[in-house]
Amino acid sequence: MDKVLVTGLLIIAAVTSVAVIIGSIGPTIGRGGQEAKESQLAAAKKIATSFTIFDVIPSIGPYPPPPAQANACSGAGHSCSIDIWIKNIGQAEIEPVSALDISLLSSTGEYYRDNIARDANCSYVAGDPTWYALPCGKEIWLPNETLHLRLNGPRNLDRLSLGSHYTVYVITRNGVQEKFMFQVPQ
Amino acid sequence: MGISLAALLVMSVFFTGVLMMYRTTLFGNVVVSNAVDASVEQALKKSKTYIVIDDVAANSIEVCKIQVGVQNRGAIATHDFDSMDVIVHYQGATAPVRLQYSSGNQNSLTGDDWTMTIDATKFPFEPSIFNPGEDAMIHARLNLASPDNISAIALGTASGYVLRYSTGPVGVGPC
Repeated sequence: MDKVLVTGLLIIAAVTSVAVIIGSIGPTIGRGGQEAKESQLAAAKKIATSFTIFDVIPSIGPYPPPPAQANACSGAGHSCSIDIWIKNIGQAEIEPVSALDISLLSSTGEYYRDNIARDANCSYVAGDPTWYALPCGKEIWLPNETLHLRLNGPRNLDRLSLGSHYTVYVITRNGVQEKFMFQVPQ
Repeated sequence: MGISLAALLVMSVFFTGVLMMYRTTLFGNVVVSNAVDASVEQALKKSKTYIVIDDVAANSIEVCKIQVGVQNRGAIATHDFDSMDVIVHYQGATAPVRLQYSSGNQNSLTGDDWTMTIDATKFPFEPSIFNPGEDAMIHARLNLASPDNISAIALGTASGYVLRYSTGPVGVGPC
């Protein structure tokens, strides 16, 4: 009789312990597993993200470039707009394009603009430098696709001097970075 | 009996936890491993690509047309010409332009577009694929408002190989 009682009590204790353990540790293991999975997916996406800047073209003609009506920064002695051509050479789509981080640094280090604002209207606003992707509103950048970005700096402060060297940095939302050094023509 | 059952239950919980963690880790490892494989393959493809430009000339009669002689001196064939990029830089006031790929021949070009031809008599092996060892010609038709000089050509392939070639002044104009 005693043995049966002890066995029964032990079984009840074991089942209760298991229920408590599952109830307390189970969700933690589940959450931890989910987070580990998401972290690994993000790491895989970062590895699969790759792009190359293959040409940066400072415009020294009228500003803004045609067909827009020139309104400021005639380009005499300076560049007020830069076209950046980038190719997605990775396996992953890069999106949203609007989350790209664009920075510009002069070789002397005197001029530096980081996290340049994106102009959602793709216009030529007077003020701080802005950038946008062409065609306007493009948000998904597919593998093998070439992306055209335009950077504008209409203020005197942001006009690029002829003959000077600059480096443009493009960083994706998941931290993949490329840079390209270019010279504004003399 | 009771102790055995209790031990069995505790062990089952333990193994369930271990299996859950293992499954998650295995899934992540497979995803990361696939991404690394693809990335390495891409890098390998880029390192095997080596295309050189040996000559850039304007057509003497139709001055809006140019021919760019290219050689595949790499170790990998190129066939996805529509994923390639050709950008023409000018010395004068004409804005640089990225030319659109056209799958037709050089006579079907309309303006600011390009096509590539491989001489099948010289390179009969896979004439529509730019294989290592072969020479090809990029034909481009420029849409110019006034005469100018080409100063450079940027050529990019799908693998991410980029060649920025300084041409020296090559006189071109409207057709």
